[in-house]
Amino acid sequence: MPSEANGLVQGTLHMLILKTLTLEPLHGYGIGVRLEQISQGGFLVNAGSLFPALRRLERDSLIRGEWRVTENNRRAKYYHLTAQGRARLTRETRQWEAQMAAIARILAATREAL
Amino acid sequence: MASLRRFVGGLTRMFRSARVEQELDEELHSYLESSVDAKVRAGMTPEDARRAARAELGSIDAVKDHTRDVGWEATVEQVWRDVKYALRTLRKSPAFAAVVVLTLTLGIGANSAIFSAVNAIMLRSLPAERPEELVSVTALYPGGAEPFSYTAYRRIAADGAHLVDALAASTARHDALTIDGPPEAVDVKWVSGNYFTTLGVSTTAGRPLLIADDPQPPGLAVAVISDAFWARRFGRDPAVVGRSVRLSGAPFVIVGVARRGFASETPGETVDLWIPLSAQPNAPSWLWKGHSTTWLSILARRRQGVSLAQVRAGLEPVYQRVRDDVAADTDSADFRQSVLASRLRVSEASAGVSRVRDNLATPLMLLMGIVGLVLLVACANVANLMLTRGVTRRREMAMCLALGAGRSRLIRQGTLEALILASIGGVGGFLLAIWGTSALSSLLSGVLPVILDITPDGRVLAFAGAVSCATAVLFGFLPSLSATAIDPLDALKTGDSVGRRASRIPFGRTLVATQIAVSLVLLVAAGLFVRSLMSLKDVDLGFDPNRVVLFRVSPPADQQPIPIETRRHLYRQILERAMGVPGVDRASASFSGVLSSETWRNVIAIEGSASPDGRTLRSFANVITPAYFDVMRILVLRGRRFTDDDREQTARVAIVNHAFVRQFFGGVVPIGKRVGLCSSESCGPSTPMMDIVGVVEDAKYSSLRQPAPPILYMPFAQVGQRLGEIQVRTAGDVSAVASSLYRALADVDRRLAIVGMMTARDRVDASLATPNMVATLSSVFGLLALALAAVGLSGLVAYMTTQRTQEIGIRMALGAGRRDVRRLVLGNTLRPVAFGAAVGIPVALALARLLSGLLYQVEPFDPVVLSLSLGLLAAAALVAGYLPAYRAVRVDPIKALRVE
Repeated sequence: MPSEANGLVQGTLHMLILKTLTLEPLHGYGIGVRLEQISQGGFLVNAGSLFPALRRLERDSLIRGEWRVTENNRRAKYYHLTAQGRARLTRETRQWEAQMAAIARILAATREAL
Repeated sequence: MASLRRFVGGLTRMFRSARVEQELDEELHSYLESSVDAKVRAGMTPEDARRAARAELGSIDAVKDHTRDVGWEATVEQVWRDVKYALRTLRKSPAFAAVVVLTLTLGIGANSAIFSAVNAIMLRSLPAERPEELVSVTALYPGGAEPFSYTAYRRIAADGAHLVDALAASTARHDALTIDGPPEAVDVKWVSGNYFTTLGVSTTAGRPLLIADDPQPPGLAVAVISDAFWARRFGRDPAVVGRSVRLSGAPFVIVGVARRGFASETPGETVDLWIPLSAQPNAPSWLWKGHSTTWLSILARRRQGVSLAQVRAGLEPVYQRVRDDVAADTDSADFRQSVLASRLRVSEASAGVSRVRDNLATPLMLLMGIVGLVLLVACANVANLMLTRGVTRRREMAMCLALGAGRSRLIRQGTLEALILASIGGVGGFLLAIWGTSALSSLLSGVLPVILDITPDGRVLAFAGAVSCATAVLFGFLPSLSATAIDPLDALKTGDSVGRRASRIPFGRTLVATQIAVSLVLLVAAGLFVRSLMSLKDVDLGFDPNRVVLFRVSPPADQQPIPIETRRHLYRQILERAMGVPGVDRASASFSGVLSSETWRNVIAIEGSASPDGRTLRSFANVITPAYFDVMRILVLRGRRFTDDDREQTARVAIVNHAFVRQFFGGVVPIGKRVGLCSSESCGPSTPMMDIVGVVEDAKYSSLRQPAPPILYMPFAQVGQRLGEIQVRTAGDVSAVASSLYRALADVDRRLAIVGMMTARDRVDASLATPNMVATLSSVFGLLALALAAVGLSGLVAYMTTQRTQEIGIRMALGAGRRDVRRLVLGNTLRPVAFGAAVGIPVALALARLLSGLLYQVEPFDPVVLSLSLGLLAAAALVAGYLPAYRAVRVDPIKALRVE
């Protein structure tokens, strides 16, 4: 079954969720909104992808959920990053940057440069 | 680490599934609410916001489903859900489930029952320590495996000691054991001193036999008894150790009881007493020297680090020396040739050595093949049912596919359903096998020298399980492949729930035709076996086995070796005493028993005729008392019987059978001609000659299958041979006489044991036990296959008829008579039958050719068998087609047309 959001690979979505949680704990909807905000509408994450991803991250102890009351006086499950999640994010960011740099070099290559 | 965490997390979630579910619900709810709040804040009306939020979220169930799918526990939960679903579906169609389970029970049961026998006779490992180290050592002569002489065994054991620890054992023999009262018949086995220690069989009480018990003859007169005998005869009394008994009159001391569960190194044998080889009482000295008597089989344990190949290579030169010895020992050129052509066979023997196994291997494998085919027919039936069901469930399937269920999911569902059915069938089959093996035991009891425990064990259970799984794949997985290969749109658009054309079950007809073909093959095979058995039963024995009692006597051994006069006197007394028993007509004794394997073949000389091609002449010989031909009712064709006047002092006489006359005298009655038994290969002039005084009819000798060989009969009064068997013809009921015979003969000598009393009729029947078993079982299974095929055919035709109800209605509305309808349905029935028969006949004929070795006086191409099989098949097909046809002609055209 599709576990991609807007062509995002699963691993990438995981990384992005971890990133949004570095700033402050957020609930599911908040994560979606935050991702949309930061990407300036570049990513629209629907619930069908978001919740399985949260479930996976929680299972792997990278995030932990906690029921709290929202600013609108509703109960919501807020997720925060665990130490393992933080470490994972650092590692994945580094990998991602390395890959991006490599891909960028390939894409920038011109006939002359070869 | 991460995987462990996942596992634990999965477990917690499984156990708290209700809470997890609730939490997910709440979380999704709060998500929705937050979304609505946000939209309201952005200026939407609450209603619009709610609608938009809903639309954005999509199906809540789908989200939940995807979220649930995360993690391994989801798969487990899914399978569990599928199992529950499958059980529910099966409960909804109990008839279907019942037919499938019953069919599989029969198929798997038949297989497990036969496999139990295969397991017990061919596979079960010896109850010995590390059986995988055991190897059997046999001498393969051009004519088959031969046992070893005592000398050969000692040689192999000594010269091969660095490779193996070799033990020797005789076959178990009936003997007379005196414990306190009169002698009792027991099974005795003579074994080398290392028998128990090498096999690693311990004792429950006392000690095992030891190497020290079995030195150069004479050995120590000690015995170890079996657990079964201990329980049966001594009630497990530990005081039995140290007890003194007499075996054939010679004293022995019981030193131990072998542990429970150990019967023999030969599967299928039971032994009451084990005695050291060299302790054999009154053994003639030639038993220990030379190679004239071969009576031992060798089993050996490989030494640490020695491979089977090394044993083979290492024992080869040892055997070559033995072989040269044996060749030098004989004066028969023929025998020398076959000795020199013999070779040593060393093979894996974790299951022990068994002549029973060698004899039964072919019939058992044959039966295994037959039940395998029966199972195939059963599977085809079930597959057909599944296919039909798949078609009727087409819309359900299409709906599932349209709702987004993956095809793999549906296939899994179908296979799961099949697995559930197969496991119920498997359990049923196993239970059936437990019952079936007891029936099988009684069929086998005539074949086996003793009762063999063939009750199913763990291995049979595993076999039944494996077979069930295989059948589930055959009848579940494959049909669900085809059932789910549908275009949902197409299937849902068609108005009716089932397809219009019968060809919607693509393999349906092929399956039924295959079933028909297979059952025809089985029927033909069964028919051939039955015919073969009938001709064996009808065989002209040449003697009359009815109302004849056979038994052997074991003379008191402390008088052995018995002077010839004493022995003659003893037998005269026995025969006289037997004649005195009320109801006894005549009594006689002979060297070779009726249809016994104990035969005597000798080089003969015929006066005035040298053998035409210079080869030595050989004939079987038998020694008899005068009444023999009367008791056995063997017809005297020419000349006279032996009489009491043929004594040691009178002229030596002989009687020959018809085969002898044909072979050596060209059919010319040889009365007055002289023959002699030669004491060596080259017949010297000193050979005492006998006058032929009579010619008797051919009588079956050692085997029912073989034509009677030439036999030379000699009177007991003139030949110093021991007698092996006593025959008593009774005037009335055999069983009444048997017990009085026992008592009467005990009077002759208290130490005399009567061994193996049975009627000649039973002896004849026993020699038919294997063909009888094969014929019975192949018939049962052939009919079972036919019944299964008929059920399959009936199902297919019924299904096709239901499909065509409308068509039939229209036809009838347009004026078609019942006859036409019936013809239509029967046509449907006969087509797969004709097709199946067309394939089955050539296959059956080809297979029959392979069976010809097992058949007696039946040609593989037997028109009677073939036409009977076809007739049975046609009858079954008609019965199978009748019910659907009956239903079809009762179709009410109005109703049929209104269905749409």
